[in-house]
Amino acid sequence: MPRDQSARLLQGTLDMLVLRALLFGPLHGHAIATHIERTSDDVLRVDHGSLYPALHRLKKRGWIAAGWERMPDRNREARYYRLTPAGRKRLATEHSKWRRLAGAIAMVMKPVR
Amino acid sequence: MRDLRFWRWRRAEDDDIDREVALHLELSAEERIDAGVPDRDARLEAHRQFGSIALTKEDLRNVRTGASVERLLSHGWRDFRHGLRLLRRSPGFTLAAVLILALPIAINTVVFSLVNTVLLEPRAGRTDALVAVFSRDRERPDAYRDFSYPLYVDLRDRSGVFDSLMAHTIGLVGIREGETTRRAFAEIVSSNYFATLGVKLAAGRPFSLEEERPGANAAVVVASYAVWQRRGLDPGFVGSTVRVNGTAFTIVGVAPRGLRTTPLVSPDWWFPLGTYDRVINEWFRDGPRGLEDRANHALFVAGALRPGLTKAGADRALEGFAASLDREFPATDRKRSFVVADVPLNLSSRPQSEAPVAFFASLLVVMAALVLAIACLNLANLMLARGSVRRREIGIRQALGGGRGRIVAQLLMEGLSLSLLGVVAGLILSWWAHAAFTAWLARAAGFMAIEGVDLTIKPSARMLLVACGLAVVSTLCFALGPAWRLSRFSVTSDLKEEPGLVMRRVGSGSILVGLQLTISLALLAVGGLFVRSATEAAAANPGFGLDRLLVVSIDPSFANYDEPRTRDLYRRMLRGVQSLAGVEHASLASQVAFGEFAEGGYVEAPDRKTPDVTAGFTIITSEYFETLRLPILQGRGFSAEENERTAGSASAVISETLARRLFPDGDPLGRSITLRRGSAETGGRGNAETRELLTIVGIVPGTTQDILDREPRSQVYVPYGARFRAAMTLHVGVFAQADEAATLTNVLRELRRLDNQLPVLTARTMIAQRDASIPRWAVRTVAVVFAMFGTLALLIAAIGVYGLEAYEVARRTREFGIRMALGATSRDIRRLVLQKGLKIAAVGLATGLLLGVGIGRMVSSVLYRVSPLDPAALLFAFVVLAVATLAACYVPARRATRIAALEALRTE
Repeated sequence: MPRDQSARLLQGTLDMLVLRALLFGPLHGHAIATHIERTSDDVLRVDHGSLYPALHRLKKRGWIAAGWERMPDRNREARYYRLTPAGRKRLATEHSKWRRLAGAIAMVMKPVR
Repeated sequence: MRDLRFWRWRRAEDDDIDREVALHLELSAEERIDAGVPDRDARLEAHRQFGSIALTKEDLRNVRTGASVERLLSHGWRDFRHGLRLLRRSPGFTLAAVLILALPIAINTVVFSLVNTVLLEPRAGRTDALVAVFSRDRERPDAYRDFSYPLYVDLRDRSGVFDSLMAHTIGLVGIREGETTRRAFAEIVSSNYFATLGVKLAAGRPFSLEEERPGANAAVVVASYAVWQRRGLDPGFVGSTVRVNGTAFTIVGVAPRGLRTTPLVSPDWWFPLGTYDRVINEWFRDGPRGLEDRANHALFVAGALRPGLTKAGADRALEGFAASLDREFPATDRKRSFVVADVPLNLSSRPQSEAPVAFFASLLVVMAALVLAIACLNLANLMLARGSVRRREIGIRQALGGGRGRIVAQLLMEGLSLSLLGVVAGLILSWWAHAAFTAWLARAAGFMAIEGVDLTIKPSARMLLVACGLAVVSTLCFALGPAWRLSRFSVTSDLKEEPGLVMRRVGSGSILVGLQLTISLALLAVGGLFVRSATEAAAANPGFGLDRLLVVSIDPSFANYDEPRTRDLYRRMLRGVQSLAGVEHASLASQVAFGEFAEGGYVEAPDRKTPDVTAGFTIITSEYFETLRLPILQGRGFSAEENERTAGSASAVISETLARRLFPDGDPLGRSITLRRGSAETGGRGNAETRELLTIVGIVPGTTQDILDREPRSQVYVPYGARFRAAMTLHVGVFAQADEAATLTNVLRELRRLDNQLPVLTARTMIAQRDASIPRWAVRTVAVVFAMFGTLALLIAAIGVYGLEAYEVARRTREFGIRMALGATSRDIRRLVLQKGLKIAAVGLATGLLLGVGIGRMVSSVLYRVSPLDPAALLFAFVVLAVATLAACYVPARRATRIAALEALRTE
């Protein structure tokens, strides 16, 4: 099922980006999306509809943890996600896998004469 | 408790998700407002970027709950509701499917209850562990007879074989209730009857040995629990009295609740053997012999063997006992041998194998199950046809990542919701059917004017279990196959509308459908034959005047009348009734047409040149032939003097039919005949047969006595003076200008004037007597049953045809579309679809007609004046089925042309 496979690829990438965004401290969902978009100079646009399922999936696997906390600058609570030690390890493997893949693609896609 | 927690937990999780998504949307909107986007647009954009919120929430839930039991449960519940919604959306399909399931389930449960009651349920007390003893002639091993009381006592006390041995017989008694006397079933039993059966009385005491002694005549009786219940379980019931055959009997005990001594029917009263001579009715006794007479073989015997003794061992031990009887009672008990066997289901003089009953029962069960199986197969076809319409839906769901397991589960759940509806409807139907069946049996007893027969066909817990099993099985049968098949479509081909070759029909196909058509046509045809037979029978002329005739059955023996008093009563009764206004003639006869008892014998011609003829035997008073408006063809009828006891009077009037057969050539008047009655072959209990020499004095036309009679019966009439009978039927001919109902009231008033305690068993017009007669009722019942089964079969077959055709259409939609695009008209398409259906229908109908005629020939003996080739019945069945089949073919065919046209426009 081709569509399924493409979805998984996208999913994997999104998972890695989320873990990476959480590397410097806990964030809520919206902040994660904004972080990914800002740091990629708005090249990567996060599909907000698939962000939350991704978050819950990661949480279920034990890579991130979640809890309701007061937002620093306003008087309301948000659900903050933070990286767990297992998530940190996972990020490392995802990162090296990604580097290998990106390198391989770069090699295949040598500048055209 | 667990469920509740689960729901609470679900709620909390849902709240989390809602809050999180709301916050996200708010933050997105704020961000845009900060960037200068107007308020409303900002919110819209935020929503757009997020996509479908509902879908996200759904995804979140799925991620969260995982493959837990809760998820299965919540999915199952959701699918179930979804299934119900789908069913509500197509009420026609649902109704047909529910009916098609409910009817076979109802039939199955009723059949099961019947089999359960007759075969599976253990019999009362230790009956199943008891043995019955049968007495047969050593020289003629086929000639069995029952036991005399002295022989029973010898067996019990001297044979050394039995631990406990009881004797019993059945009879009818007249029970007086208020102003009326009703006939009731009774058993006359030895004192150890209840102890031997191993049952404890619900109240009171069993009979004593003294009460059993012949001639003891202790007026005591044990009532059934049902009788006690009808009296409101009155605590003073034991010790109260009941008038039996005109005598007050003291109720000394109440039988245990639900005690049945035969599979369906149970007596209401038990009498000690000592009352035999007083209680037993003339129909149930042979001749005037008393209970203590060794030649009166009146009793059935059953009991428990001594511990450690086998049946074969008992047979051997009884050989010695039989030898001693030879020496002691050479006149009455010579050359007997005794057989010990299981207690038969029904009272019987000879050992019975219950194998035929068991075979018949299992046949019933198999047939009922087969009906359900065929219904399920057809439903499977129908579901598949419906499913093929839903292939795209399923394809889309698969593309969206719906696993195959989920889709199969959903389709199964839909099937389950359907079969649950079917089972519920089936149970309601079967409840009704149980009541109808019980009423049906009770009516049979009611026709015999027997009161309070305790009939028990009850739905049982076991039956409910069976019904639930049927629901599960039927779900699996008709939902699993299609579910599996439908879920196997490859995603791509279904989205592209290429059905491919993946789909194949579930098992059945055209042969099955053809077979169903055959069977339903045969059933409908036979039903039609019976209906025709019933109407023909109603219109038939019995040979005597049916109208303007009243019949009143009386049995003074139930009011303790002896012969002289009875004769006196009847003399005064005839005189009184004849003088009533509106009465043309009045007479008495021992038999009545369309009655429940028939009495007869063998008639021999004096020179025995012609074979013996079976003939009815009726004792009549003078004016009988005038009352029935039967002309006397030759000779004379009986005179009023012949009503009175006359020594050696031997005149007889015979029917023309009998005269022709006995004396094919020559004048029968003045010739003599011999009437042989009471031997085993004429239905007696093995007592000595009687031979009477009669002189023919008159000839009357033959009459039919029962609606199944094909031709007038042979009859022998003798005058009341020659023979006594207590139970007689008063026949009253009414003048043309008189009112029948008013005259009947007058007649009954006259009877009450003579004796206000006179047991009047039935009082009605002859037409009503015919309409209530058992054969007529049986023919009508059979007609209804066949028509019902035929209709059910028709429904199932029509749905089968529809399913097949609808499936065919669904499979070939694309082909039709192309054909239409290439210029085929909708008529061509319709013809294409109809052709195949009609081919199957034609074969099914043709074979069905043949089968119907075949069954018709087999049952032709009970078909009244209707040929098994009766055109009306066959044509009716054929037309009904042909129309139903056509309609079943036409609906999908029409749909094919509609869909195909759309399809052609869309895809090409």
